[in-house]
Amino acid sequence: MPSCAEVHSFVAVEGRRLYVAEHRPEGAIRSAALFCLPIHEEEKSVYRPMVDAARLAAERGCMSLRFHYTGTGDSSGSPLDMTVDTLVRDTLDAAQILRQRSGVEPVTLVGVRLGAAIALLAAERIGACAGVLLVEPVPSGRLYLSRARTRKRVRRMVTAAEGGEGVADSLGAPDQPPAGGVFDFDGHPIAPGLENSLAALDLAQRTAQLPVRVEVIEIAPRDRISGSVERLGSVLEARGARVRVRALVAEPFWNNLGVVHIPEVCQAIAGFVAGD
Amino acid sequence: MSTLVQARRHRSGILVLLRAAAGRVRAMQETLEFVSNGLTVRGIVHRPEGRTPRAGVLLLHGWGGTRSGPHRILHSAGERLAGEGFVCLRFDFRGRGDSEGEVLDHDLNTMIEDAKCAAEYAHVALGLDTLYLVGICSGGEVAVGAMHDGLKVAGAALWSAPVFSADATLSRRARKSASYLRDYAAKLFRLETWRKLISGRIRFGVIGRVLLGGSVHQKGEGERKELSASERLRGGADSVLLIYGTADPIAEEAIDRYTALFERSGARVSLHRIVGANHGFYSWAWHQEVVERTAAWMLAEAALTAP
Repeated sequence: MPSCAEVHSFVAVEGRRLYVAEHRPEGAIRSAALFCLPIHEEEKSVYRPMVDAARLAAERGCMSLRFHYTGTGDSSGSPLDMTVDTLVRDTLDAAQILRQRSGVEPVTLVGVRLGAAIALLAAERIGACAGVLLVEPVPSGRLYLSRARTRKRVRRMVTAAEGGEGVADSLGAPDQPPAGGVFDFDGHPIAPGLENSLAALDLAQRTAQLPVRVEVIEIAPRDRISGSVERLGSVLEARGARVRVRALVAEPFWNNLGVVHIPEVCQAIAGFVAGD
Repeated sequence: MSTLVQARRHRSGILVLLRAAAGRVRAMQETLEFVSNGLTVRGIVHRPEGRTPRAGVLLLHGWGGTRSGPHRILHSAGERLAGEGFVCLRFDFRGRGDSEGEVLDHDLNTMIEDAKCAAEYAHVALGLDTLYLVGICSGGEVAVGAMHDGLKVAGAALWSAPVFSADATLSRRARKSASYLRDYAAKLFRLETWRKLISGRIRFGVIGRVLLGGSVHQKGEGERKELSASERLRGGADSVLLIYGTADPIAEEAIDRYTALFERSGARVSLHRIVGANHGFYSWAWHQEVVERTAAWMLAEAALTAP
């Protein structure tokens, strides 16, 4: 059982109802962390490890807040209205809730996969940020969309035809925009607003100064950092961040269909947000 | 059940659905907490606003999932059914999602306990005397387990529910392995696969476990054997809806087993196959078909039993 108080609630924010889950340490609050999840099916696989990480962080005196973006999980709204901007807006709103509830400023941001990119964008605008932890970040939205289309294509090769779609389906040719407006990604509708804003998202092209502590964790089969993550680290250093990049040997949990148990990743997150 | 009766029931369901669409009500979501074996289970209640509830619905997620289900399908079902006047409870089983408990300490047995606790909570705390179960994948097994243990419900919708793994036949395991093998074969056409191969990032251990039948839906050693051997349910359902995709390798065996089990128990059994759908219904069209078919069935059942 977790040695922290957990409060789950809906918070009304400008006509939206955000689902938020708060993990409050039993003793004094020494730091505060906001968790940014990925979206689509990756959200499901990453969900529980973030709960475990937030509980571990609370044991170390860090108050954490997790939340569901508008149009995802239990929050109100339609996924058809989702864009990168709405994801960042929800993150900033959740950060404000965390600051009010914890009394701590600045707060630390934690993001996994696309949530890491969102955390980084939010950190540029958050005002007081203690640090950012990026776990297996998605460096560009274009890459994310490309992988989504590939994954759908592979699944279609296996199951012959996706649900109800004919030959001229919504997939589109490789690197071509999908026909019909909405791209069906594993049962999640990706509307043009999200698709276009993802296509414009490229962390390597961001130039705003970010003078905070940033740690990038690459989940890898071996203790070796890939070229793309090294490049991201260099870009962040050029933006004034104090960067640490490291590989953590673990399975690619964000695509796992089964139960996800990754204590080493949870410990790494808890250690970062607690300032260990 | 004969084809004639099924067809009549389908038509009846559609008529009820069309009538209800005009009078659909607003639904509100509230947080939910109850205690199961000393640990807090957390979730969401979808409540219809401004009307007396028709009945309660427990939405049961799968083995590695959360209360939203794959592609948020349990959320969609909760919203849809609450709009028709059903109070819907979605919750994370212990050791999953937001609920308490360690991930590795919980299995199908504890999930069944949680479902029975949720039914008790719905009855005692929310005053819901009539209950339906909706379970996806292992959530369907949980529904069957709860009924085996004595839970009596008005209806149960099983979406892609496998038979208990202790009961799985060699042929089923072979079909699943063949399905995964096709998946990996298709991946050979991807440039990314070859990049991973060259850079040593292919996880052969994971592939081996999947192909040899382990990993993906391994549910622990403690699975109760009597669930697999069950000839009768101590509880049960008046009506059962089975929904499976035709591209789901576990479908045929499960359809045979569950049809026989529930017909022996005296339930009306309806089967809906979704052409081309895989195990998780991973497409928006399949997602909608599952939810709408379930809503039509539940409305028809509620109309049959309404005073």
